[in-house]
Amino acid sequence: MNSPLLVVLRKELGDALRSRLVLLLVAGLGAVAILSVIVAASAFHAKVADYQHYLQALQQAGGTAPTAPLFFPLQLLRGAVEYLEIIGAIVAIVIGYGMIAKEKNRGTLRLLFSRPVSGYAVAGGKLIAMAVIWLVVTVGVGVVMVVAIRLVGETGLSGTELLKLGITLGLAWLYLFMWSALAMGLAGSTKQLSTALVVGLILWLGFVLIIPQIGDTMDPDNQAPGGLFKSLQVDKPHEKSVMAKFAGYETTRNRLEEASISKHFERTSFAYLGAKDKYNQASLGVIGGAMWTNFVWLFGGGVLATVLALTQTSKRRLLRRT
Amino acid sequence: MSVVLTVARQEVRSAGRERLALALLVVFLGMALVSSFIGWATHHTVMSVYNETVLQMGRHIPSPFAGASPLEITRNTIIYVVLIGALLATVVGVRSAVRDRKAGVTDMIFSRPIGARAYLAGKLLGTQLWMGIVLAAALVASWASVWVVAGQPLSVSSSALLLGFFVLAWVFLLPFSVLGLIAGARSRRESTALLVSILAWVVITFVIPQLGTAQNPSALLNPVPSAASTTDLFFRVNKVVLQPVSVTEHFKHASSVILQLKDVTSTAIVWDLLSLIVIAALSVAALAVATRASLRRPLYE
Repeated sequence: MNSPLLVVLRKELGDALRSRLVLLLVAGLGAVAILSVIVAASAFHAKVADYQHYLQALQQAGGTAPTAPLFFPLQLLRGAVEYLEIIGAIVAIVIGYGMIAKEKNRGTLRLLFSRPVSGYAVAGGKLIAMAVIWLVVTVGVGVVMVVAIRLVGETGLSGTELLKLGITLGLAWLYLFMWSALAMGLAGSTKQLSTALVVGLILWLGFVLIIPQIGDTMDPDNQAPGGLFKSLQVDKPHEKSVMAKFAGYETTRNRLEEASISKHFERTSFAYLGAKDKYNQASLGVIGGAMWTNFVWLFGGGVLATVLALTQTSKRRLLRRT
Repeated sequence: MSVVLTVARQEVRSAGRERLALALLVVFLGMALVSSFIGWATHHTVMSVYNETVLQMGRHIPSPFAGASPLEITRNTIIYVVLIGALLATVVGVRSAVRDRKAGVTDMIFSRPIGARAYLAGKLLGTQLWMGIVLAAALVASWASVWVVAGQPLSVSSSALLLGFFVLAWVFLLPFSVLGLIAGARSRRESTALLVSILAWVVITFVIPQLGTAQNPSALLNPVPSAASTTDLFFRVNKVVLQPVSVTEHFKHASSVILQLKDVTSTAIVWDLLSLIVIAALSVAALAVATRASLRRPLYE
């Protein structure tokens, strides 16, 4: 039970528990998750209040009542998932970078490898530790989400909804682990640590913020407050018929968005949370069938990042760059 | 004064050699350049969508871009200033503060008759001069790209508005430079300083506006404002409490008005400008928290 891999794993978990920075970051992530549930629940209450006022005015005027806004508890988590996508990724980069940076800064690598440690034991131990840290964090954030929905949304989650939330959190785990592994690989592959942080930060900016932002702003429907087609008073069938003429533009826009791994995480989690009307209340099979390519992208990204981390932080590589 | 200028001159030179600052500068300039092309492509497509809709519906619908300003296609630049510009300012600030500590020369600097305030004022002046150079380059890139995509140069009045927007961007970025300077001057590690200031940027850019408007983080990155909820007491209270410090929202609104973009909810920007100036002034005053002792503290990485 005292294999080098397990020793490294135990040590990394202990370090994470003692690190005020890691604890602060994880607590911050939980706090924004709670805040976004509170915001979403309050926005829904406001929507219901608006509807009631409208209904009263309409009843006095003798008109027919429109459909009341429907409450879907998982939709309250959209903001929290977006925070995991944006803030979670940067926290993941810092944690992954820190795994190697601390060894390089303290000069402990040579000492560590002076012991009978196999080529990949340290890298493996650190990767497993990151996987455990993110598992604990995503489960913790999940519990926070369920409790927040219970307290703020004043409702519980059904078995299917819990399963959908579980799948979303599983995807979040994979996404966050991927960023940490990537940062760990970068920290191992560069002679100067700051270069790794620079590259990590640029990748985060590009893949998490800029590419999805360009894709969103190129969406014709995002060109008017409330939606272009709503402002033009065009119904859904006509909207589809019009947009069919712009298939080339939409394909280019879609390809651009698909270049971002964050968008794959976002699309899949939004489908499971029902944030997109198309998938709201859809069965797990339907969502899984529609989202399989996004799963492949996420899984592929996770595997590539793990391979990068393993190869770039092996004993031979690290000793050569120390 | 000569101390301030000497430190500032050194800062501008050093920032030009920083790889992180240069990398972000390239990204920022690149985005300023492509922003007009993205704006043009979107504008062109939306007009085609509009024409097709009119054709299929067989009735007149007001054009979504009727009376739009020629600067409309630069609207994405507002978001890039908030996203990349603010991040660049923060990182430049952090690097500026930790550079001398990292090189171990702060003890030597403070062995001379130099006060911490003059030293930091020089650092801030240098950082802001550097940001000024970056923004001037972005202004030229935007102006030229609008000329290329629109097929004609901007008029004098439109050019003046574009200049006004970049001046406002310079004021908006000042607190972010200060944030980086303070984090860099007080942290024991450079990565902690970078992380703390980036997280503060995330809170300012996403969390504070979300609490006041109920908009999700990704919606806040869309230059077209979405309908924000204001009826609920929660948002009304938050709006009152958080609006003065919601610098990104003030900047986005004031910039939209200056660039004469459509869809602006109101054209009054006095309150926005006042908030941005007051916060910039307060942030400069906040530099006092970085003392001589904190600046001389060793950096652990």
